[in-house]
Order: sequence, then C-alpha cells, then structure tokens
Amino acid sequence: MSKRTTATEETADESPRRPVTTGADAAIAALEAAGVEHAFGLQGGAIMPVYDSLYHSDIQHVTMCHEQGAAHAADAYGIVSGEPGVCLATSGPGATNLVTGLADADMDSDPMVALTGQVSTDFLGRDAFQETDTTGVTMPVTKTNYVSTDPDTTGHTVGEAFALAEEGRPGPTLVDLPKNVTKGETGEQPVGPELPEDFDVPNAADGAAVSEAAEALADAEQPAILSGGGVIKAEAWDELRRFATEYGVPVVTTMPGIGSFPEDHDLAMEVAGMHGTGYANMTLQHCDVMLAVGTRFDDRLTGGVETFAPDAEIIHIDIDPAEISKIIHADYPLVGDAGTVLDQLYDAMTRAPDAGEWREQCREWRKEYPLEYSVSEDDPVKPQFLVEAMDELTPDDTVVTTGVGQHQMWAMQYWTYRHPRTWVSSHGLGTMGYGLPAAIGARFAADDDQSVVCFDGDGSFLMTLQELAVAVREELDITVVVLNNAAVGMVRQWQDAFFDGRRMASEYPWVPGFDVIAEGFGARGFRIETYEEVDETLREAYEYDGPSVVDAHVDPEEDVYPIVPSGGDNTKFAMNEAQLEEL
Amino acid sequence: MNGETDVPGPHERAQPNGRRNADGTRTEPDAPQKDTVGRRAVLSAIVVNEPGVTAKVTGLFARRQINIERIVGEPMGDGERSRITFVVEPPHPGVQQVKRQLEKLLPVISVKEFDLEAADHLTAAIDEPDK
Repeated sequence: MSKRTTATEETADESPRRPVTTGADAAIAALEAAGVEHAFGLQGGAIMPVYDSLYHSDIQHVTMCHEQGAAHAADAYGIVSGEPGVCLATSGPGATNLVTGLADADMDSDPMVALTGQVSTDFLGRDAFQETDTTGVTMPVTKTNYVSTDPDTTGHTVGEAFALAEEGRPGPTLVDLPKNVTKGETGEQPVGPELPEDFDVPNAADGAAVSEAAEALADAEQPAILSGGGVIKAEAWDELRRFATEYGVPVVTTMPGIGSFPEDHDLAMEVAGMHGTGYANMTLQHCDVMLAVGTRFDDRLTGGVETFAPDAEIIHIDIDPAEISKIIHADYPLVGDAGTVLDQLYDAMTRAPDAGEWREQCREWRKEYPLEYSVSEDDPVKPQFLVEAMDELTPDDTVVTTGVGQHQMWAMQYWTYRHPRTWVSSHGLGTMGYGLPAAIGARFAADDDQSVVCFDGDGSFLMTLQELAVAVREELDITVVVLNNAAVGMVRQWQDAFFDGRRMASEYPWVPGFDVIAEGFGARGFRIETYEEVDETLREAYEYDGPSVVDAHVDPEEDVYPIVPSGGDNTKFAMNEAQLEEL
Repeated sequence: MNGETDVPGPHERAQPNGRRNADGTRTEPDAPQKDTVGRRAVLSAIVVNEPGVTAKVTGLFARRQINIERIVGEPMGDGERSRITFVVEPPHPGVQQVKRQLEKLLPVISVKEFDLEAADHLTAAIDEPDK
C-alpha cells in the first residue's frame, strides 16, 4: 500500500490516534503533540521504523531528493512559519548529508528539528553498516543534540528537542534514534514539547539598564536603529516600528533583518554591510547612538571592527547573553526578548531625540548614493532589471528565496521588502544551492494565496536542482528565476577586483539549458535573452500554476555594487569600478 | 550609470572621528592597543555527569580558539554532577565571552571564575605526578 505523500481528501479523521506502542510511535506522537503538520525527509534503513509510524500519522511527509534539500526545506519552513521545520534522514550518509543544512540553520538561528536513524545500540561504536557518530559530527552545528537510548523517553526527548529549537534564540536540534530504540516497545504517550527543568530564557531586561539606555538615546543627535534577524525571530516588528516612528529614528537592517521594517518607509535606510546601500552604511557609520536589536554583528555587516560606527554608543538588545560584546562592545547591554525590551525602552523614553537635521542628512545620503545600474537595449539583460521586473509583477507579500552569490545580493538590493518572513536566504553560512529546496519548504509554510519566487544563480542552481522533481511531484506553485551569467559570479568579481583578473575555476565555458532541464523534470521551462522578452516571459512563468524555471541569460560582466572590500571601512564603499580602484 | 555619475568617492566622504580596538570597544585614535598576550583565567563549571559532556565543553573551547592549559574533572556528591576546572587562555573578547558560551551548553549547570592563584592549588597534586 503506498501512501500518498500529499494530503488530499480528508484522511484519517474518523480513526482516533493510535496508541503509542514503540519508540518510533513515541517520536511521531511527540511531533504531532507539538502541532507539526509537515516533515521533509528521505527513507533509509535505520530510519524505517520511524517512517513506518509516519504511515499512520496525519503529518504530511514530503519526500525530497537529497537530505541536504530536506534540511534546507525544513529551515525555510521554519523561517516562513516561525515554527520549527522538521526533517528526517537515515543514519550514516543520510545524517551527514543533513550537516550543511544544520550548519546553515545554526548560523542563522532558524528553528528546526532533525530526526536521524541510527544503528542499534548493540552496534554503536563498532563501525556498523551506515554508522556515523551523528551527534559527534553535528555537535558544533546544532543548538543541542541527543541520542535516544530508551523507548520510554524517546517521545519526551523529541518534545524537548522541539521546545528548545524555538525557545529563546532559536536553532536546529537533532535527535539520533537507534533502530532498536525506535522498534522497542513502550506505552509512554508524549504530552507535548517541554523545556528542560531550570531552562531559563530572559524576557524583560533590567529596568535600571533600560532607563540608562533610554537616556542615552534621548540625548542622541544622530540616532540609528540596527534591526537584525532577531526582530523577526521574536516577532517584534510592530514594537520596532512603533519605536522608530514615535521617536523618529532611522532604521538600518541586517540581511536577516530584511522585512523587520518596511523598505519603502521614509525612515528606512535598508541593508548595511559589504553589499548594503551606501546610505545604510553612512547612517550606521555616522550615528552617535546605535540601538542594535537581535544582531550578532557579523563581519559582512561590520567590515573592519576598528572602523565600525566608531563614534557610536551601542545599545544592544539580544536574547542570547553570549552575543553581548562578542564582536562590538555594548555600552548598554539589554538581555531579553526583543519585543518586550523595545516596549520597555519605549516607555522609558522621556522625550524623542532632537534629530531632525540628522534625518534630513540620512535622506540626503539616500539621494547621494542611490542603487543604480545601466540599461542599454543592445547589451545583454542586466540581472538587476529582472529582479525589479519580477518585483513589479508580484504582490507585496511574495516570499523570495535565494541561493548564494551575486544573484542573492541583487535580489536583496533591488526588491523592495515590506513584510517580515518574505525574505528567505542563507546568510551566515552562505550555502550555494539553498534557494530551490528553500522555495519548496517556504511553499508549504506560506499562505495559499502568497506567491513564492526563487532567485538563483547558475552555479548555485546546479548544486540542488534535482529538487525540481519534488516541486513537480508535489505540484508546487513556485517560480525559479535563474540569473545565469555562466560563472560563479561573486568569485569572478573578486578575482577581477582582488586577484588581478585571474579567473581561475569561476567561469563556466558551457552551462546546461535550465529551461530544457526544467521540462525534463516536468516543470515549465522558459528562456530570456533580450530585454523585449523580459516582461512577457516572466509573466507567463509566474502565472503558470506549477513549478516553472526561467533561464535568464544576463550580462556576465555585471558586478555587485556598492562593495566594501572584506574587513574594510564601511564609509569607504565603492559605488562602481572606478571607485573600487581608488581603495 | 555605473562609473560615470558624480557620486562622492570613498575618500571624499565625511569620515567619523573615532576608532574601536580589536575588541570592538571605542577608543582614542592613538591609544596603544591593549597587550592581550599571556592572559589567563581559571574557570570552574558544574556539569551534569553524562557521556559526552567533556567533549561538549572542550569542543566548544577548540571551536572558539581557546587553549586549555590545564584541566581537572571530578564527580561531586552522589555522582550526578561533576566539576570541571580549567585554566584557559581566552583570546579576545575575553573570559566573559567564554563563560557565556559555556553557560549555553545544556549539561552545564553553572560556571564560576576564580583568581589565578586557584590555578596553583588546582594543579598542586598534578605537579608531582610520581607521588
């Protein structure tokens, strides 16, 4: 009896939930008790008992092509839904294939739970077939991980892993499930996700510290907010917006913070950092008090630490005490939940900072350093043009996923993000190949009337494009736009800028036809080579009710600007090639 | 159009006056960098006594470039908990960061810092291995 992976008609509603009889049942019952509706994964020897329990579950399982795809899909599901995404894999290669996805989720603090099969406990440590020390391998890339050795506690452990994945600073957790444990008998019905005893998550920050920070901010002449991914994780976008608009503070975001503040707002300076806008970088660099919320001051954001916002007193709100003064010294550390602390700070402000001139200056910078590129009808299509055309074509709440590279930067720069959880990307780890599996996960998590668009590069797409099979099989309405420049373009750009143009292993003399490949998979394939084709082709691909791939041949020589060279001074961004040569 | 607008160049823009040191702390532009070589810290962690806990702690140190100079571990009371004491060389941003990272590990119950003299007591027995 094959079970449809896609839930169609009403299924087992008439049959009550089966009682737990095995460790595997307990693991699945724990997921059900946590409200899990979808799981992404692949079968394999050691995980078979868990899949056998899934056979009887209402959880919709999405069979992916590769465990890396399962992990990225679960990660994106977690980003878009705010609930941990779940992935499953077998022991050995199944588990090691998850590692990239776990590391990606760990770097970006995305909530995710991985269940891995394992050889029976009798064989553990004896180099059995498909045995890997999974908890050993994944220790540095998970928030925490477990080996479940007793079927009576398996359900509780899975529930705890789920609770920890979303509590406090989110992250990936993993439970390794030996086969004799999942096959072992138990009657323990899990109750639902429970945090470990004594697990303490800070909520409100110390009142005196909040008052001091509020005073510094009220006294500021050049205040700025730096809004990070933590604002979205904490669902604190309303609190952030209330604070910024009430007190008139310009808002810069990090890349994971995209969507925490609408980019078309008068106070929005958009993304700062290596490829951030000139005006975002000028705003941060020149501010005298920075309210940084839910950010870990990544080096792609700060550039050189010595030159980062060197006149600014830093108020740092973070739920993870270990982020305080890790990279940038916090003059006013406020440990707690972003929304709660922003409200505390809002109430503690005795007046708005006198920053009218400063806001005017920030607006000036926005005029002075606009994002721009050149369009000439005779030249190959500029990738930025495609991003803008797609943005125009799609509703405001469209979810955008990306791979990693130049296309990712253009998707970040030239799309106007107005809502949280509409930007799904690989930031900290920089995982090429993230885009397509992420679009699959995002599709399951997004509302039915929301569109999902994936921007990818040719290099990035080639890493995980087999997941198109899943998109076709599951009849997923997603549009993939490949900004195809026949190169790993970011590497090529760096070679031109920093390696005297020696383009070693970065250009592809031949690239497959992605439109043809898409058709082979059963998706719709399109190709764009000239400007005239852009509008109609994008529209046709977007309106197709199912997975479509647009192979857009773009200018292979186009570079990403602005750029701050690695470790550089964020005031000294280059707006173009000539300016880069001045550095 | 790229390259042809009159956007102020990197060296024509207003520059902030200040500077930070390598720890990300604001500092006077000409202040000498703090000498960070040879710092030591003694940390003692109470942990759940379970397989893998030492690996979790030492793995964290290895990943974050913290050299362990000395380490002593022993079970406490009924054996449900252990105390692991280390002398470490923390790189910047310093011992607070090490403590906070340690405290995030699930089996770590508490972390205390001791003064450097404690290191001598800690390793007094180890210094005379043949006794």
